[in-house]
Amino acid sequence: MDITNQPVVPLLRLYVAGATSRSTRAITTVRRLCERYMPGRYRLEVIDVYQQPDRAREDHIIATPTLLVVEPGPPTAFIGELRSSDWPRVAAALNILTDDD
Amino acid sequence: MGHEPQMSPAEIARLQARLAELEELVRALQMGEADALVIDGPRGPLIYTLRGAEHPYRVLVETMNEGALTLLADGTILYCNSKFAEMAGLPQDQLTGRSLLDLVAPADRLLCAELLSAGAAGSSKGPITLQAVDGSQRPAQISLRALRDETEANMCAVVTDLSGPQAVAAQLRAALAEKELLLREVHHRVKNNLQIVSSLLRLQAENISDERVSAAVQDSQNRIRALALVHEQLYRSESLAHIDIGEYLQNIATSVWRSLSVRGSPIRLASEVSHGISINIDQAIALGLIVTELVSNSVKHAFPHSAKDGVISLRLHKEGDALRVEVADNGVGMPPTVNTGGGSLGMQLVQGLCRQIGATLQFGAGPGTTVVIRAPIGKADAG
Repeated sequence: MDITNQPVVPLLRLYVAGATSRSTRAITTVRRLCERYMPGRYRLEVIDVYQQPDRAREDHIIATPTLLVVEPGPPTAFIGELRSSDWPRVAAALNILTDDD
Repeated sequence: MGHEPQMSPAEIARLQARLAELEELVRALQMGEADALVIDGPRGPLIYTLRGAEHPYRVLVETMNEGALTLLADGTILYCNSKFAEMAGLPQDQLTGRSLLDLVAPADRLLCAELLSAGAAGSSKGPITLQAVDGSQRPAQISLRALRDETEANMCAVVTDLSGPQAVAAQLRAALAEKELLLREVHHRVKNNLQIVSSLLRLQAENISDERVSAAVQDSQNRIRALALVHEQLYRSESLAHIDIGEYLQNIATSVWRSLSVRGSPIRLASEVSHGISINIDQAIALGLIVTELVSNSVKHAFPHSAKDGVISLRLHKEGDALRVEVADNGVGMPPTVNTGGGSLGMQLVQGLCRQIGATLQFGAGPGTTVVIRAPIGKADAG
């Protein structure tokens, strides 16, 4: 069981570049991760840097795909492909205690 | 050393996080996981796709059926594709850093070293024998080209495996191309020689005072020109075995008409030919000589009194599987003896040539003269 005691609903932003297979894969992975740790209790924004380059600049995004954990803070960025071995680090940034630990 | 400015723990944590993020970025870039970079430009953020441009080429290089490498001038391999690794009998990652010379049969190493230095200077290519790590050898063709940019590789190489059946086909194609080139050259020379003969005959005809002898020599000159035209058209054309008969006969008719018409003669030549019909060379030569005779007959004999409104026409088109060639004029018509086997050397030649190519010869009713030749269209196999 996942134990989530979040006062705020976590906010994640996934920055991708266009509808490439890599982008699609990143979106699928992040969705799976969210559903695993905080089913139904998260906000995920997928931002295409081609469509909204200014938002990428505001968030200091340098490369895509980048997953930015915005809330709870402090903001943490995960750049590149998210493997299942990276998931505990993402969970830690979300202040989630997991069974994996 | 001086005093370090004091940093608050929060600031240190922020910098550490930033550092961790940059390390993450470097790792992602090194692993090829990032697909685009967002760069802040003066007019807003710019997005540079990382794989977009390179990716298709990379796939191409990895899947092509030829070895591809980048090399230093001394032959050190910086990169090779999987096909080359297969030829070398080693995994790709074990080839980086090795010398290409180690993968060449000892007897060919000197040659390969020469190709490498020529390649680093510009480009080079040549046959070499590759020797895999297990000692097996295979013939190959290597093409090298210098890279003129800031990358550390000094040249790139493409290695074609010449040991498989495809290689045999490639060698055959090359041999065939060479033979065709030779044949083209032969046609060119034959044409030149025939042109010389033709010119000599013209000079001779001009110096013969007896008009009949002079005319006979000129006839021969036209026949030889017809032959020269075949060779000229062949070495200019793509196929060496076939000739566009419409174009050829039109050229011949024009050439004969021009050589025989008296300057300022009002006789016109009208032609109406289908293009794109290919026939073999033997038939083309025969038809060329036939048209030479018929057109020269018309020019010489059809208009004995007045050539005003005189028209000689050449028509050529396909009629079923056969070729229909018609030479006609609106002149006085032929004497009846001609089509019964008598007549000039010219008409005997026409009849003989028709027999030779299995063509039928038909004389149309007047007025004027109409000669129709129907010839089966000979396909390939021309010698």
